[in-house]
Amino acid sequence: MWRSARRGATAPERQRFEPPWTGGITLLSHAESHEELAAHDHGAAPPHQPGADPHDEHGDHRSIGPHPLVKSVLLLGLGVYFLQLWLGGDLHNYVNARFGWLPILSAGLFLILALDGIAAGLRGARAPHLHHWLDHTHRAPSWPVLAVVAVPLMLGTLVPSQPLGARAVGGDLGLDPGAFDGAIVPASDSLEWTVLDWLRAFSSGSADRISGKEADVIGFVYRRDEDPKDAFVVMRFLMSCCSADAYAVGMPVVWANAEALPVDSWVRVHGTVAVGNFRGQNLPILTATAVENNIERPKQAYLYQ
Amino acid sequence: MLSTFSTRFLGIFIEAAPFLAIGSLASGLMEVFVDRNALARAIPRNPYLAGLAGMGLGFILPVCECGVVPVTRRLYSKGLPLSVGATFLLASPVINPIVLASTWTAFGMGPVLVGRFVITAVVAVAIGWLFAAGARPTEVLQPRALALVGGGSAEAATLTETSLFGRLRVGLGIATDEFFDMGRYLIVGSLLAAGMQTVVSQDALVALGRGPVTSVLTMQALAYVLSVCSTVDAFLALAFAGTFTTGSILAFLTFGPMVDIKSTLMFLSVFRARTVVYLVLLPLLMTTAIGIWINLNVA
Repeated sequence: MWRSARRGATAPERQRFEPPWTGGITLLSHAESHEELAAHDHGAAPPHQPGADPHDEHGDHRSIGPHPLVKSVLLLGLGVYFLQLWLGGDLHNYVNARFGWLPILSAGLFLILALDGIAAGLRGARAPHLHHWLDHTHRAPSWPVLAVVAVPLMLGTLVPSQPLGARAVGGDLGLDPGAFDGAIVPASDSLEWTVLDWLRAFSSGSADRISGKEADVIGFVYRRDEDPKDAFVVMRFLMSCCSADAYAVGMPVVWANAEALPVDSWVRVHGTVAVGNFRGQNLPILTATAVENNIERPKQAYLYQ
Repeated sequence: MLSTFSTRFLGIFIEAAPFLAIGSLASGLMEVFVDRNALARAIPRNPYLAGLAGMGLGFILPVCECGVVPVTRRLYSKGLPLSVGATFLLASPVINPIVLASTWTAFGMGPVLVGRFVITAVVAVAIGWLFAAGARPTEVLQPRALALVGGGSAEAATLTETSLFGRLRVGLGIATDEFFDMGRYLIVGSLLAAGMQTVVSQDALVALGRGPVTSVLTMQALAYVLSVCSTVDAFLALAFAGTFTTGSILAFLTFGPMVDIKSTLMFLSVFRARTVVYLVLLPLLMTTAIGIWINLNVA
């Protein structure tokens, strides 16, 4: 049925609208809509009237579905999770630093929705029954839906927050200098360049411009079985927006003790850059003079585009 | 593995959550504050002009594809014609100020920015016109959404007597249910997308990226599977701009916002399965043809 009668009042006027392409649809009259708003305000629970509704099966859920406060608790959880993301440093594991305002916005919106739901619960509304005021597409979420929406909250709180590392390196995409065509060579001292800056500088023009320059970069250690014993790749994940679009970029490093460096550990590499061949590609290769082992992972583990 | 998966997934979720919340909120507040009579009056009578109006709506109501479905569904409840809704659904994830800004930031004023907006407009309006020419609501919409079109097309509620606060609370209640209703699709879609990223190697994907035809199909598949939000996908495309053909980048930036795993699942909440097939295949075929044509004739 379209909606139920309000408590202690005369039944609202109901109009039948029957366009040729349907079997007849009951419309909200002006009075009905207003009244349903009032019902929400006062927490009235309109009685269910089976039989009057061709889609009646959709109306039954409210008697068996989860309590509306479960929604509010879930929203509250999400709000608190986003607050904690904002206050703690974990946000940088997921999204670009320039989106620092994002969790504040999310937390605010979720907390507003949660508090509104809790307030409605305290007022005594068993359920807002908005789906009746509205339309038949509107259903209060069922247990499976609530379970699905709980997934991010579970992953966010139960799985320790980690930035993407060596295990997430999907391939050599980042080593393809073509990806940086048209990039601008940073004007700063080459000792301040990141892995990304070096790849950009390399792909932006002649290799001569970077050959022989001194480099000092940090990143995590990545290695493939087929790589030479005295080489590893110092990598960073490059992020535009969030970890879903992050991909690894890196520079091959020649270092006699490369094998001793544990994969995924963070290192600082100092050395000289020359263009050479690695995995069959022309690339800027860093010949290390010093490798600082197991340095602390930076708070912002990603480089940003 | 779980850590990588979790990080990839939460990245999408954290990024998309506020847009989804804003979309739901806009949807809920629209329900209580937008006068459906006024909206119905604003849409031109001529179905073909109305299709163009659907494209313009995207600029007035900035929603990405995470938020466009609830807004579209709600607009249907406000009496929006089918064809206008279809055009709005396909056009608004791109044709809005936020995407204009992000695409401009990533690519600057140039062929990619212009191409993205022009192709999206052409495809969305053309498909809207197809809806206007042939489709009947009973054939197109889910029975539950169908009730909306009937409800919106005649006698409308104006709710003038209700207090602002009362309306706001109703709007918030609607937004809450809307969030759960749409959130499940976003979350299932994001789980799939993150799972794919964790399992399939980038090498395998990139090997396909050079040919004028394969690159377009690859980028479309990538756009479909990755389901990256239209407000930010321009930055992702930037990473492929050097290695992939221009046509494929444009196919990525136009097809992805219209159709991806996430939005396909969301479409199913409004449209009948057969219509969803059209809503996926028509943009796919049109953007494929345009992308390949660009690769062969322009680039």
